[in-house]
Amino acid sequence: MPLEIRNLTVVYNGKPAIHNIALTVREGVLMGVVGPNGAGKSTLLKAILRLVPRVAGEVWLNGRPLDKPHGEIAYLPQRGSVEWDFPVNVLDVVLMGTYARLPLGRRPGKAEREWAMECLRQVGLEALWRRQIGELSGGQQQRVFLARALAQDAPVYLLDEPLAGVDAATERVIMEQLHHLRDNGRIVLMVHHDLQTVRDCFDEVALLNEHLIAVGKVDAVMTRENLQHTYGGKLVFLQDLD
Amino acid sequence: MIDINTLAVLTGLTLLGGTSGVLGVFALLRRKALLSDTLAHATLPGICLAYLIGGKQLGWLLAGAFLSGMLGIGAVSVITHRTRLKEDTALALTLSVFFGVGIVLLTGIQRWGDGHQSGLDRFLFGQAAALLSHEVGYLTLACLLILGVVSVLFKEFTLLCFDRNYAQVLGLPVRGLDALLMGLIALMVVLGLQSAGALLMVALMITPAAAARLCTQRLSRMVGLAALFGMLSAAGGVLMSAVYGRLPTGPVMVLIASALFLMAFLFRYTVQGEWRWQKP
Repeated sequence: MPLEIRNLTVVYNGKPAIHNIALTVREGVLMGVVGPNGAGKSTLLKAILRLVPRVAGEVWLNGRPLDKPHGEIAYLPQRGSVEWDFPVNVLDVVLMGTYARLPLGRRPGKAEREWAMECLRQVGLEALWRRQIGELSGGQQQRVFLARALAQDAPVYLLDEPLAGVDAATERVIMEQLHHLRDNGRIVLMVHHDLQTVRDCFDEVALLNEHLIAVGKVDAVMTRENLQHTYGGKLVFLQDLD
Repeated sequence: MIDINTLAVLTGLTLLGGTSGVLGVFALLRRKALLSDTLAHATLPGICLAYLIGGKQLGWLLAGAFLSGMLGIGAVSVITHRTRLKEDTALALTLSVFFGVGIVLLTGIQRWGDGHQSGLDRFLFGQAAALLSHEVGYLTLACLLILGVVSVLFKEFTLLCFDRNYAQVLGLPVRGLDALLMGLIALMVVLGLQSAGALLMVALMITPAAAARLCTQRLSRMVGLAALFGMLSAAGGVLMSAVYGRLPTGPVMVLIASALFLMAFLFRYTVQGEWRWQKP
């Protein structure tokens, strides 16, 4: 069952950040959201999650309106949105992914700890589970937060530029895990900034610049005309993207 | 030398110090230290007004303190969200206005009312010896209530402090949790008014937590250490003020807490080999 975004509009300080976005992401699809800085890519994810107020629009999941998420959506925020100095270690952070399934007041037990360790293993960080999170490198921190999202075991994954500023090893691990999620029938929507790698990363892509410019299979969407429309005159074509 | 009443006060206030250290950890991690201080100062006009309206019964005075403190929090929230002013300005404004009103009322009561009979000045600096044993009983119950709530909601409060957005994505009632945490802090401040005083109660929450933060990178240990430091400070304050007589309890408690903080600081930067002066 798909994730349907219907006519989503968000306004910041009287100016629309995203306008009338309608988008459907099916299960088993890895979709990229691409557009220039300030195009509203992060805002789109936050509006789906209700982290910013919507002026209009709805989000539907499995044929039902999703007013407020209760753990159905795993979210990997942009790096720098949490306090790295916080007194928690790597395993503590990954365990937070299991909180969605634990009732209010119940603490994670042995089963949750084992599951969290398994998720850390999938991102190759099981050896670092005792480290304070501030002691990790940027790429390792990103992988910890991916492990937290994996621990949530949700049908939908929203990721905000997970590849920004990470090392090649981390990039490989993240893409591997996202392909794995896709192959397991999850819905994956990821904000991405690098036009060069769009073809390698995604099944489908949405071009966004306040409005939705185009959406569909990568080859059909990534045309010179669409890109120029999205980026205005700012884009220099080094090669024909055709 | 130590009679039954002093013993009861000692036990009750040791628990109060421990509870205040535990809650201080979350106040510190949620960055509510200054807001808590504003709240504490804002209790003063409430105490005075309650006294003027309904007399000197402790429960009544503390209810006034709580309401007035929450009003102060409300004022900060309105100024921050409805005007272009930032939170630090809102805090400074609210703290000084409420405290100014409180001092004017307090002075008025002492000059023109029944003078020093009112005993209200103990709410400024704290006078633990003035506590009666049934009051200590209520204090103990309230502390146990706070500790109970914190231990049940430990993981929720932790996530709220660490990553509020993620807590919201998981469907936690973040606004409710935030309000509850602030309510617990307000309750804690009110409980400590009589023994530590409006001016210094927040130091009894934040200083133990800050000292504990320097000692460890694990939240569970931080909570334990903060509880220990808070208990030592409170017990020390009660004993010193009992032994030396007429020493105000609040300042002594805070001095002990600060000494512990200094020791933690030195421990961190010498024994643990952290000589660098930049942020670790």
